[in-house]
Amino acid sequence: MAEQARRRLARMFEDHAPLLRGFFVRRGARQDAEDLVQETYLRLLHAHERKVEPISNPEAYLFTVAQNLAREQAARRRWSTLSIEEITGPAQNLASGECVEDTAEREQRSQRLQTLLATLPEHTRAVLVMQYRDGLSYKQIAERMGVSPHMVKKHVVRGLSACRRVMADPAGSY
Amino acid sequence: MTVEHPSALAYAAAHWHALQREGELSPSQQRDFMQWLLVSPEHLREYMAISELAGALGEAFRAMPIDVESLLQAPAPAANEHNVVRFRPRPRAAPTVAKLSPAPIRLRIAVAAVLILGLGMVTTMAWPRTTHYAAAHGAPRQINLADGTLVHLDAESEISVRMTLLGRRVELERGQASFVVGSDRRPFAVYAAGLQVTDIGTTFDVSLLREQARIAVSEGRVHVRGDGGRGRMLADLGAGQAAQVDYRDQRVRVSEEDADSMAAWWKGRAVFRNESLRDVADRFNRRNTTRLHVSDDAGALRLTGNLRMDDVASLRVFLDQQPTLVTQLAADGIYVRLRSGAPQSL
Repeated sequence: MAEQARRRLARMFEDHAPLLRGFFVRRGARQDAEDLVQETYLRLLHAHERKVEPISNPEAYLFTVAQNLAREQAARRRWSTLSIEEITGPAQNLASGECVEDTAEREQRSQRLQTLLATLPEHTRAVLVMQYRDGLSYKQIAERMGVSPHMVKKHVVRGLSACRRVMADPAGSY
Repeated sequence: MTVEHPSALAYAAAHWHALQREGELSPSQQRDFMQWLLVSPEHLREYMAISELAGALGEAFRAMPIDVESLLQAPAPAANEHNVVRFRPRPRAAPTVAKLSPAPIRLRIAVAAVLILGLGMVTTMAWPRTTHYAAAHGAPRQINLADGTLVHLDAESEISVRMTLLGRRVELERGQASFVVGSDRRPFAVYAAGLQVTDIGTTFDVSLLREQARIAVSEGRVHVRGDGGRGRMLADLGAGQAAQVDYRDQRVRVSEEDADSMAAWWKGRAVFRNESLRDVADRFNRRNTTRLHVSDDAGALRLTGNLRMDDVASLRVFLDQQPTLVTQLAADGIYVRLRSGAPQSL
């Protein structure tokens, strides 16, 4: 069970991390990201309304829809500037979403995140490290810390929303 | 850039993200999650941003030398705070009063009690409260909100109401609702499918249709904005006007309607003017056990009529009168399709 959860977590980040980075980080792509959000929302809404059975895993569905849209958009963008031979597989299209120009920006953002993480309480930081670097389950983290899994989840929620608050600050590069 | 509840939204998104990472969610939790995502594009955007942040955290951690063991040796933080800003731990006062004479202890307890009571009252008044209301299939209901607003909630419809010191905020999550807005100094706003409808002393109706959101005003005035209130003004509606806003491109169509027909559904009548059969069928299906099944091509047909909502037999007669439609009664409801040979679109 724990192993399964861990694999699921790993898969979710492997599958979606590049997509999500493409969504929000690229400079000058804010409007694109906004269009993608709106379009993803509408497709999800339609799927939800059309389906007789509820969608069993909305998160997976959401990321799949977003990924397809991002691919379509990347393909459209490339079509306007590139020849057909340059457009290869869909995976390539997606990867091209992260181009060289954002390496510096990503570096800067990573720096900012590191500074921010250092200000979090030690236990919250430890939980985030065990979850996002080591891929441990809440139960494993809870056992190691001698607290309840519920408490672990609380640390995750607090840590994430604190980081999000700071990173979303318009003064920053996010 | 002003954002309305950045931290509340981030907190909710982080909560769902953490719940998803915890493992298998029950079907009802997944349903709640889907409902939450579909409240507005802001919710979806925040969820994706939180997921992206979680991915970036892993990356950042790998670049930092971190020893979990030494972090865990730090004293555990106080359990109650909801933020993660560090406080200088203050020495606790309570356990050190043992040697004082009885009177001051009682006094202290009394003072503490008054303080706690006072704090409790202030927080109950000031704490933003969200209440969720749902009306089941076939059971439209009326709700009196604390501010004096009367809500007519159609069957199979849901709203969340959030009252704070500064504002009154309603999210229409599904279906249709009319608001007879109580007078109160706080602004009243309804959010639906990414639109914000703000009222200026009003009775109005918001309905989530298949392709559009429909906002109709029977008294006073409302403003409709895109992007959850941050977008441009899409419509400024007075009494007797209705706007249909397309979900896809936010195209707006404003029409004149009489106020009586807007309130008709409260009294169990379906009044529709140039409305797609698909949307008309949805309205009837929210109320009745005999379901209408409309074929895709027939769904686009536009109809005008005035019928009792619980009278499916009359609806069938009405549909049979349409030269392009054919209906068929089956065990699980009434099937409606285009008559073969009829033009596909009218």
